[in-house]
Amino acid sequence: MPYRHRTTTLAGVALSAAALALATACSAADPVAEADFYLDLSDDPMAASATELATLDGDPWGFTDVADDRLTLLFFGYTSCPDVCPMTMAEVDLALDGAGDAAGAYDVVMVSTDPARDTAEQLRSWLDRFDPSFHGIRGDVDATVEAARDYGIAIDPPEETEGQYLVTHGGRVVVLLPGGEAAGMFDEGAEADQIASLLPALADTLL
Amino acid sequence: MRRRTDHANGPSRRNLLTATGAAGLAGLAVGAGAGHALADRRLGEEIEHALAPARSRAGARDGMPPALRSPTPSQVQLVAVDLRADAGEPTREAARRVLRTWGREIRALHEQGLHTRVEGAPTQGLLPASLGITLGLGASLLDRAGAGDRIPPHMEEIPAFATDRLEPAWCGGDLLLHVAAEDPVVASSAVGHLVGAVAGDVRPRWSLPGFQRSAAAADDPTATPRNLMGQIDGTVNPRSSDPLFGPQVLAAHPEPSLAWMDGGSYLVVRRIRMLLDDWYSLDPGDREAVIGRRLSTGAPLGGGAEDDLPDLAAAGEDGEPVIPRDAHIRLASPENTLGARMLRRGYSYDLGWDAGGHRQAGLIFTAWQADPRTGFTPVQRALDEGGDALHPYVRHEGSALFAVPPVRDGDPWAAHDLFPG
Repeated sequence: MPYRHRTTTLAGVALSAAALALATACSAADPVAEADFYLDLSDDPMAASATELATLDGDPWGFTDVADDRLTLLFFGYTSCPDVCPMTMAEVDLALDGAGDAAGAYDVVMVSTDPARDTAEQLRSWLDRFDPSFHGIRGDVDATVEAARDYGIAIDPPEETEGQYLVTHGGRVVVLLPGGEAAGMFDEGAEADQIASLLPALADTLL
Repeated sequence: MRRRTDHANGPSRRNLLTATGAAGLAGLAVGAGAGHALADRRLGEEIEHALAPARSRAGARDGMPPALRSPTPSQVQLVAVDLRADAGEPTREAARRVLRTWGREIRALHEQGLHTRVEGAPTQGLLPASLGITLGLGASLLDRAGAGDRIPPHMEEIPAFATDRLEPAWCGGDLLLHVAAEDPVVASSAVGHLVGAVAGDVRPRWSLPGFQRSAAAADDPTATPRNLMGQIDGTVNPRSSDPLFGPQVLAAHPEPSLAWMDGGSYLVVRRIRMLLDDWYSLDPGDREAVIGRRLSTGAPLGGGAEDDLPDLAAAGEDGEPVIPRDAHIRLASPENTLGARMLRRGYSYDLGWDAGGHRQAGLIFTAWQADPRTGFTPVQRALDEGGDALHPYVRHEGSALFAVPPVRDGDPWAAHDLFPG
């Protein structure tokens, strides 16, 4: 069966990180404000999604269940993705390696946008390639779409038409506060050294 | 998506030619003499680039065996051997002797060359030629050494596929030598030296020499090489500097019993005979449809460049997929294999014609991965079960799986944790 992936952007949040960084820049010494690859929402965080999904053990899981003493890097993706999803997880993994002690202040969660094929076993095996401590979350596909949209990430349910299986993924990596609110987002394509450069400052200011 | 770059490879010949053209125009403006000098310098740079693999020394780097480094030398010899010793302690002792000897000799060959070790060696007068020697361990070795509990689950036997035509004599092996060099004499004499040094302990099981185009003969030495079918073979491989290289290629084993392979890589070797007469009887367009890529550029059908992502959903005016349903690249794609990935290194082999008049030529397919269960195996299963259009033109005749341990500074030989001494 042929498969295809695509990335979409929700028009309502298509505001570029660069533009917002300019609007919120406060001082030249603030690496978060200066970064043109990061959308800082800390002045007015997006509310936590109320959607219920599940852990890979099958236990109920909501976005307010993220670690209460750490920040969470959240990505919506799928394991059969040919490029963006594995590349994003690899960049996040490398960023944490390069962030020194600050890495301990972060969890990583990937929510599957293809839960029918991303079984718990498949998702666990795929995430283990990057880091066994990365968390996989899956659930009803419509609930997943709703959760992503709650964070301004536009995805659609996998679609099968004329033998084509179309799956979408997010692009940005969302920084969640311990209560599940979104305090910021790394742009799609942000590289490991860029992400790593902000992790200490984000942990210092947001925790 | 970030584009791959590898500054260590230097500028490509294509870029050099472009620069030469620009320099030539400038030369016309300032005088023919200056133009010639500039052109001579550019030509000198091209020659330097072409000769670099012959002049370089290889060896391990950053814990990675030389076989994982790029660019790959043009010649390779693979030799699988079995230990002669009985199972148990005799096998452990023999493994230790062989690994100790090879550790010492490989270090000397990498650093000094064979002619400094053996008087009258055939490598006298030859450059280092990027000689790089990599060792692999088969599960059979650990099993017979009584170390079955230290065989990673990643080494479970590769399943049989319906399209296999395996010859048992060309499968398996206790140990593997993967010897690569830019010159065939350098590779061949290194293999002879290493096998000869442990002849009392090992019995060669199978061996196969392979080759790629040489850097000196390549219009662009940095371009992905072609195989004997004329296809650009090795597209989409990660560079060692890519973030995905580690998760895709290098094994992670935090468990103490498997720590000997932490940071190593699992190597699947397949001896794939190509039915070249049948292949070249196809029209070029049909050959492209079998693979799903353009012969000229390696671009996926419907795409424009080799590195373009295949658009598996694209349809032509007739409503049929641009990349056919049974095309090799469609069936092997991450989208069709739950994200399976590996580093593919193909070397051609050509042993001429056998007594029956059949040409014995094809591909030594080497697949390097963090875990064959999420790399080679699902890809081959998808090709096997999906009716790969390439299948009528190839025969998988040999198969083996080896653990290639990391090269650790201070360890006197490979897999020292496993066979200490």
